[in-house]
Amino acid sequence: MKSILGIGINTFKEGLRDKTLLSVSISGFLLIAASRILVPISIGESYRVITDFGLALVEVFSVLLTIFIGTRILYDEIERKTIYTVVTKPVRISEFLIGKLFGLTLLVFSIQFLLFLTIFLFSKIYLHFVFWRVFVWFFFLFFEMLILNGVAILLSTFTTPITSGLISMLIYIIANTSNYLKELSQMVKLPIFTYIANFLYYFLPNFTLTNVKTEILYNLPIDKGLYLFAPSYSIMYVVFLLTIATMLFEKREFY
Amino acid sequence: MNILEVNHLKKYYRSPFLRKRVRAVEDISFAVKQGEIFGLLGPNGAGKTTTLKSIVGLLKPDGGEIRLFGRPLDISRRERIGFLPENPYFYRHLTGYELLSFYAHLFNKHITAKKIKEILEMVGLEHAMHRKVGSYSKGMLQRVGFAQAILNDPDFIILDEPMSGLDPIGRKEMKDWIFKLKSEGKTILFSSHILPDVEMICDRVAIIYRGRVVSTGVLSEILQEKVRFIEVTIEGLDEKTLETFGKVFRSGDKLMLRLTSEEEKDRLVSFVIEKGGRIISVAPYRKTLEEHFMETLEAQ
Repeated sequence: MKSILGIGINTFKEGLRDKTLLSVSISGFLLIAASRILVPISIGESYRVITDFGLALVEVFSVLLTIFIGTRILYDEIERKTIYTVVTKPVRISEFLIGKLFGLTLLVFSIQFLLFLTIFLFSKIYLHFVFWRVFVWFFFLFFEMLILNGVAILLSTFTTPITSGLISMLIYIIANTSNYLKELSQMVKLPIFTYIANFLYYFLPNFTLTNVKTEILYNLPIDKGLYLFAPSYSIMYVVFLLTIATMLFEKREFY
Repeated sequence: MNILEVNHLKKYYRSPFLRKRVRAVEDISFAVKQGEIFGLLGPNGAGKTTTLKSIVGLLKPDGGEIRLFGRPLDISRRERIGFLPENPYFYRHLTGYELLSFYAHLFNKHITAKKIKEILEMVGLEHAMHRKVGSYSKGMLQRVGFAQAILNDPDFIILDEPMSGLDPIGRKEMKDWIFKLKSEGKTILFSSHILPDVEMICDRVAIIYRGRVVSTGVLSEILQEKVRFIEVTIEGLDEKTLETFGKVFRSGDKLMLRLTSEEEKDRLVSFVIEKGGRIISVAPYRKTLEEHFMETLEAQ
């Protein structure tokens, strides 16, 4: 536990100094601030338009952060040879990877939280509207990003940052369209397509299960079971990802 | 008692494009005894670093066996070892103190802030402990690398080219730290291609060449195997009296002769005393490690 915490905090500190983090975060804050120009053209629905736009921005920037930083997290350790003095200490590979995931998640969480806070303050100051439900979406987005962080860590155990970045992005897109995939496989009668669609639906993460954006924006009730389902699904999926990542990383040699 | 046993270690690499098998280590066997300083010697590419990386688990051997403290390497063994890699790289965003605090988290035993400061003082980094490691010179990186290798008070310390990048003062200090560790009962294994350093501090050495151990043993025994010549310094006689023993060199009022055997030396000493001369000194000149090293490599 002590080693996981140490590795996690070190990863967090290292990530804070990453120029990508700075540029992505500044772009996010600026875009949220710039969304004020949408107010005059939103015809009385300004809070909804601004919130919808803001939430979409937070999601996009969270994904970008995960992909840019998460996919490099192990690659940099190996390339810079800093891993030599870590894995030769009494640290299990699983502890090392959990620590890395913890640090990355803490980093993405912190930026996400600041972006959400910006939307919240923005709507309060400019629209005089307190939209507490953005924090509900924050809760669900956090668990989505936890899975995506796990995917990035798994991929970076065996591929280059560019390849793992592209695959992570693809997985994110599939995860957000899983329900459509299922429906499409039922419509298209090709067995091979059904087989591939079913594989992607069941094997890859499914973010459509916990997507409550519409409910939040239109003040619709949210199924209470989702509050338990989202963390359980996310944690189980991350355990699955880290198990595979550990098995792959244990086979690695450091020349 | 052997702290480390390496038996017939083999390690091959695959070339990047053709995936051809390239030998890194063919047959390495040696043992390190408790409390000794053991040196792995060899030219660049001989297999020293591959051997050390295999011992600490960074590489997986293709053959042979490695036993640490009588057992194969596992996570609990790592609590008792310290490792300094060649040209160490550290997290540049941390200060020297933060770096050691980070490593302290990786051990089960509790390492106090006081202990971290003491180690940083010992390696001469007390003035730079709150500076970012990214601003450290090569010598300072080597010092902080040594500090992290001894942070857990290990029984066995593995140092890969520890003198590399250090200036003469730094090298002297590194040797002093190694001797200090030995005096505390620690066992040290280190690789080097700087022969005078090895000659000065090692109890035993293994010479590695092209992935094989070509010579191993107690350093003093290896070097005493052959005396190159015995230099005898004499006073009170002239060159002519001594010329039957060989070429005579003059240095002021002293004469020097270089003899190649003990028998010749005994005959000369008796002769000088008989003729009323005085023996100032008798100094055997033994093979240096460098000469032994070159002879061994040439024989291969």
